[in-house]
Amino acid sequence: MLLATVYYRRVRRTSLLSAGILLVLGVLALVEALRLRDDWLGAKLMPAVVGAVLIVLGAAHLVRPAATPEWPDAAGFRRVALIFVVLALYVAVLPYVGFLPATAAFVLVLVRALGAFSWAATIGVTVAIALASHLVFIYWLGMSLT
Amino acid sequence: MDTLGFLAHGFAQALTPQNLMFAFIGSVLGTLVGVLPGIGPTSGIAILLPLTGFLPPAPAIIMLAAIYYGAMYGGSTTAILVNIPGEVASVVTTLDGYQMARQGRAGPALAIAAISSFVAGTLGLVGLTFFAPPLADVALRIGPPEYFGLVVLAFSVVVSLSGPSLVKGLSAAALGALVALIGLDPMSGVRRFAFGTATLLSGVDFIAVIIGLFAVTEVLVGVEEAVGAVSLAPLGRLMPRWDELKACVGTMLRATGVGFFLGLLPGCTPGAISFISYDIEKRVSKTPERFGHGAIEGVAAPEGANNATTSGGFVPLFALGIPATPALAVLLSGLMIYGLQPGPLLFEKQPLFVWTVIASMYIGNVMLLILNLPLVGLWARMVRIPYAVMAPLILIFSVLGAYSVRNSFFDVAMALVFGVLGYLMVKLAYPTPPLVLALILTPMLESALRQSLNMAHGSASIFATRPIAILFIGLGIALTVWTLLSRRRR
Repeated sequence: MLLATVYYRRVRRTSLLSAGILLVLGVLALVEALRLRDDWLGAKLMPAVVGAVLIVLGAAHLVRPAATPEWPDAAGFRRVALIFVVLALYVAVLPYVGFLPATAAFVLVLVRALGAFSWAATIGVTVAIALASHLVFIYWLGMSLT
Repeated sequence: MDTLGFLAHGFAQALTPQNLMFAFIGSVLGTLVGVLPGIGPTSGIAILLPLTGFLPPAPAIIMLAAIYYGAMYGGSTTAILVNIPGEVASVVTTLDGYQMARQGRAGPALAIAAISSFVAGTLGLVGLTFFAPPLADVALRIGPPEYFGLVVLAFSVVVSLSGPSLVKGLSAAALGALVALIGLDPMSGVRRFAFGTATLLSGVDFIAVIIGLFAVTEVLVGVEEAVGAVSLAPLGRLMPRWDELKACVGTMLRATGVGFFLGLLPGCTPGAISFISYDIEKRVSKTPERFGHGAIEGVAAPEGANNATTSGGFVPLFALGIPATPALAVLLSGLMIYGLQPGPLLFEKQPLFVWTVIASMYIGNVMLLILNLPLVGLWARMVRIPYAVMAPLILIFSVLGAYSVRNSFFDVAMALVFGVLGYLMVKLAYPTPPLVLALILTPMLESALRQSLNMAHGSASIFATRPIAILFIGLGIALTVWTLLSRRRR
């Protein structure tokens, strides 16, 4: 009985959240459609249609609640969060630090966090990936990330 | 010039050393993308797109196409050896393939997968060769209302891509449609959803969305679990027995027919069709009880069907400019980067280019057969690459891939945003393919609709006077209803 209540609550919470997001986006699209100054057949047609569809779908979420998602365990979730934060940091510093040092640091953290390698192997893998990608993208393809 | 004449010219071009080399590189990369479970054909093509940036259009598209059909070959390897499908299209292959491997017959299973892929893929290409030009010819004579009907038909795919929940699939599609509207309206030049910022004015780049939604998401899902070491089944003798081969001839032909013709329809992805083909084989077989316990036809059918589907999908792409699967949508935007608009005019304006690419696909299939038969043991060992090495590689390619299209860090940021969105969508069981298709189809739908309405001075009655447009829209509705009904039965 208790289990059923918990289940029902989790179901409702994610459904409510999805419904809310869809409804907000739908209203946003309708407002944007109203803002556009042309007749209904021009630029505002599709935003209005998409807005209406989003609102209908948002409402549909409220009628039929979805199944509960399978979230990873705490350790798994920490790994997912860590990888994403490190990735975002990597992208943020890339234009300032330069490709090779930023990439080397990025790979080092990832390999260390995900793999069960010795330090020597970790550094070997890091150097190999950083150098190889530098060679291909910067040296060979001539990409400049500034 | 007739079709065979054009094809001969295409072969002459495709056999030049440069084009051969890029068909080969694409085949190798495609097999790799197929073998490695962490990365699928869609994200594979998207993150490898910058590698083609310095190439002329023909070798670039040859390579990207080879990655796509190459992935269909590679997907079976891990499905058979370790029960992990490299691609969605090889999920069914695990049923009998892994059973065969457990019985010590991994070799014949891998061989029949490669042979069936080759036979069905090549026969599919013959279909492409003879179907696409007349279709493009017809398509040349249609106007915006008919084109609108076609895109409506393509949109009906969203229903079949929706997975268990229709509401969720449609929600994902609506989200994609909304993202597609961001930026300058190409017809009137009005700003939409830019909120006064300059960055949003040029819209959200399609490739960045794909990379986020597929590559970044796949890594985020992948790192959830610490993956342990994978043990490989021994290969055994490679070639199947003669009677086994003979038993599979009918299977391969049926798989080709099913795969190619369903592949013409938008939304029939290789993943879905391999299921249908397996089901048909089971029904046709005199000994259906063997299926699921190591029946060799159970490997030949899905692997053949997914390759025939891949070939078939190029028909609407080249002749109509309409992508049937997310991976083909990426290929479409790859073509557009080169200023090549796929569609009926492509055959008229760039015949040499189209036929070179088609010819290279025949050659690529031969290369893949060779790559996959004797070298299969090598690919199998790729599964052992630790995820700690794969993940940073995929992410570096993702960042650079998103950046390279417009040299913009905004696009990289968008890839990250869609990476998180994709992760949440996967967790909450929202399918991502509908979002991608809506993203690429919405601009087509919008311009066709508005051009049609303009033709009739704003009256929707124009569609009533166009029988072909009505036919397409009717087909779209019929397809939707059919999918909904078969969904209910399941």
